[in-house]
Amino acid sequence: MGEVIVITSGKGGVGKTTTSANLGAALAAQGRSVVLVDADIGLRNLDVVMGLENRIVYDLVDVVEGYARVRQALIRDKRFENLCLLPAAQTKDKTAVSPDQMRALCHELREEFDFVLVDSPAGIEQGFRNAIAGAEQALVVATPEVSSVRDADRIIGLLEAERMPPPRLIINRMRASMVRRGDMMDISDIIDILAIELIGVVPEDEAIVVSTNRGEPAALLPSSRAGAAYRDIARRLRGESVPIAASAAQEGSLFGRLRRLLGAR
Amino acid sequence: MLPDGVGADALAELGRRLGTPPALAGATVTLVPAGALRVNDLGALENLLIGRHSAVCVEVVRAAAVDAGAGRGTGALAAPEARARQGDGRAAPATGDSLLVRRTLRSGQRIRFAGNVVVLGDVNPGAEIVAGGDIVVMGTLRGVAHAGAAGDADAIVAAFRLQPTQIRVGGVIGRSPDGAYERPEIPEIARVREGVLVVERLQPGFGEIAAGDRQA
Ligand SMILES: Nc1ncnc2c1ncn2[C@@H]1O[C@H](COP(=O)(O)OP(=O)(O)O)[C@@H](O)[C@H]1O
Ligand SMILES: [Mg+2]
Repeated sequence: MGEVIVITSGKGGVGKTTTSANLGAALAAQGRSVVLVDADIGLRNLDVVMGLENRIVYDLVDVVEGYARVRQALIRDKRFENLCLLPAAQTKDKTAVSPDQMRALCHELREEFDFVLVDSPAGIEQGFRNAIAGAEQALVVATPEVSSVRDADRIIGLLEAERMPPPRLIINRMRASMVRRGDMMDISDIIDILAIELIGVVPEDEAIVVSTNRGEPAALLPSSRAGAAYRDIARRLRGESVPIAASAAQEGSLFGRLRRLLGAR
Repeated sequence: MLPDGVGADALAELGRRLGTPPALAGATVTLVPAGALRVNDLGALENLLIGRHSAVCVEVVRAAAVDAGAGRGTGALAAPEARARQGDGRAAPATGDSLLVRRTLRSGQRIRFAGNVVVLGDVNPGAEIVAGGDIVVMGTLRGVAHAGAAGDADAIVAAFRLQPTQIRVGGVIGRSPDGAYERPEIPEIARVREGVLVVERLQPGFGEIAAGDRQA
């Protein structure tokens, strides 16, 4: 039986959809069967990022309302046999689905797939409640900004209250050069506050923008640094122990500590 | 209900009654002390309940808060009206009812309690504690803390790392400086002296001094 993992953040625009698409592609490339569930109803875009928009016939709301069976609504990826997408509805809003329905759907999907990745909408309202309803694990995405970390903290508190195991953290859009200049929160600052396990650090990378527009996840591009970070996170999700690259993690924290020691703030 | 002060006998008796460990796996245990509970007593109780019997959480509340059926969930550990039910409008006693919070308070979480509040964890930015008595954070205080909320200007806020967004004691407000500032990596205590909020290094025995001040 597969694992249901929700990708969430609180704040919008920090990279939940990017992360869902890239982890899905990376896990599929590593031979796992994966279904991506777009739970951002009314604002769907995982299909666009995956380049599958033109194949949508039925969506998640059609499935929970009984107009289509799950099999009919699943869209097979262009590149991988073992990667599917369950698209969100574009024309309905999030009240069209209940947490119970999402739970039932996720339970059905995990019978067939190794990984069920649920892309959560922003916010802490019903859309978020729906997205986490069927999940047994969560990945929290945050960018190295105070407001994003604050929202991630709020989300972690809500997940803890749901009695989920402690979520794991992905720091996205890290810019080593800015951290070095002291213009960005470093990894140790973020971990100090959130106090959860770090599962990966994804650098800021133009390849993400290009690949998103092309509907081609960067995780499949050997040259993309963000893609490499997502491939590593996929391996960690599969239980492999892959050290977090020194360039991403230690640089930040070492400089941060030095800066504090030198009293530079 | 626990007697005033927990002796070794009482502890052994409790251990016997609980039976073979782990008798409390996964449970949240709420202690309702009849009188003051000393830190050492609490430590011993925690060793027993958490260490031996696998409880996940030990909270200490006063009887009124329990009777009111106050929620255990996010930010609702004690009913806000708990204070009002004290009735006479006097500040909470310096010792006595304490709420022990065995977790980190995260953004958006809020605790209001008529007595003292002790947090075994951090208080993150965006979290808030309002206490009738003292506030002690055995971690980093980055959020908002309001001690002596019913007007007790003798209340204190202490933390292993005091980096609050804002502290209030009684009616006196202090906030962290804007922008970057030096953050000493030592335990500190904030209290009101001559009408202003001052932050000092936390010295051993500060509690006794504070209690003395109150009696004076
Ligand atoms: N590591 C990254 N480097 C550069 N751009 C990124 C990165 N991660 C995300 N983005 C961009 O940020 C924007 C928001 O990302 P998205 O995944 O849609 O966020 P969310 O789903 O959390 O709202 C997108 O335009 C995306 O291309
Ligand atoms: Mg999105």
